Amino acid sequence: MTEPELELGARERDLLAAYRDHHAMPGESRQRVWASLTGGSIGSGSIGSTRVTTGSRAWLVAGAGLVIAGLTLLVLGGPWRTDPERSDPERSEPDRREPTTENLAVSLGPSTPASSPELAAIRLEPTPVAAPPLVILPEPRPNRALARDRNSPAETSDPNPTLHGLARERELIEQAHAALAKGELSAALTALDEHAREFDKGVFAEEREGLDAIARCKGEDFEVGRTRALAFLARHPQAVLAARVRRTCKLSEGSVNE
Amino acid sequence: MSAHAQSESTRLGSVEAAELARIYRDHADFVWRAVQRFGIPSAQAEDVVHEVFLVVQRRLADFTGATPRAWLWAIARGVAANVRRGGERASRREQVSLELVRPAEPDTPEDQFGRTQAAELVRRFLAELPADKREVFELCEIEGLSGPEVAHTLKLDLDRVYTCLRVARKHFRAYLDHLQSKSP
Repeated sequence: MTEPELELGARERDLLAAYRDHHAMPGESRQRVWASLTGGSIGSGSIGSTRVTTGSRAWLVAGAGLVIAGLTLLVLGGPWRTDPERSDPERSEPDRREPTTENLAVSLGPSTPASSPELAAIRLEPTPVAAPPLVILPEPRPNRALARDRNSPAETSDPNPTLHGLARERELIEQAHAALAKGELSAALTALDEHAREFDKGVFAEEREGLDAIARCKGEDFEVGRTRALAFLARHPQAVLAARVRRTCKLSEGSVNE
Repeated sequence: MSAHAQSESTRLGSVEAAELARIYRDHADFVWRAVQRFGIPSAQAEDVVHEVFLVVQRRLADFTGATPRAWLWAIARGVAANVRRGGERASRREQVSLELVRPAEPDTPEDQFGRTQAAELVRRFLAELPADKREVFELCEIEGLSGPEVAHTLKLDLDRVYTCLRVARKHFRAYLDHLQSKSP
């Protein structure tokens, strides 16, 4: 068996490189995780990413036309593949079935080189027109699991969290994350306080408590942070942030039971 | 630093420490993306990546392969599954498909806009692909694994890997051509 003869061109590879770069691990996270792994004892300065950035802006040029067309298409909601492929009949067919162009909504004509004049002529302006949101949230809908998981509907300040409410909660928690990442502890605590004020028992209340303990343990309120960390771990022993809280507040696995 | 991490780093020999540093330097991005593919929200990705590398640290002596990506993929999948199982709230967030957006890197507005939109186009394409083809396409074309490596990682026949890859490439090209044809 040999590799597929159909290779991607520069245009496709540039876009994939942009996607890969966009989803690279943030440098601060990289440093923090490494520091946690080694305590900074093993060449902490040598763990920067070696991923090859494109260096050039070739992907910008190559993607410019596609981006604009894409935005138009996304707004119009145009499909790019045929329905038969969406239903994926191939799953029931032998693996060796050769895909045909009939399966595709668009015939595979010769691709336009990334350096074509048409593409190069397109300027990539940061116009707000038709720019799609980076994050697509689903339509709000009754979520029984969500409601069930709260202690009781009466206890929640926002028993039917709307899209707006969730987005606002998310924004505040993300602000806290970002501030913590930059070492801006007071900004993190401000965002967390704001979250507590607006969403006392919101969806991200648990995360807020964990981040609050972390922020305080990193700052001058270490003892307060430690106390809050113990309370957090007692309430949420399985929390995703539990390990990070223990790490930051220097608590061992058995601390909560001591 | 926790006592646990302290003891881990203390017992690492210099050779293992260098190897760990190399793996981390070369593959942290890969693990970062992998855990998010396994359903970990980006806000939790840092903690999960940390857990993955703690496992790597513990098992470093057992690793004998030429390239660690298949190994890292398997560890990331296991750790992510544990986190998802253990964290009710995390899975609840998954249900509402919340994705916390990483703060934008300092960049020119044009670069930032272009990169974000290019990444968004690719993301939309990937979202349309059937899961099996998407996984193969991501590992081959985005993560740079070879066909045999992908076959090993996903426990698939090499024939199947190449078939999925060929179909996914054709779809990707068709998708871009379609966008191109609509370009003003």
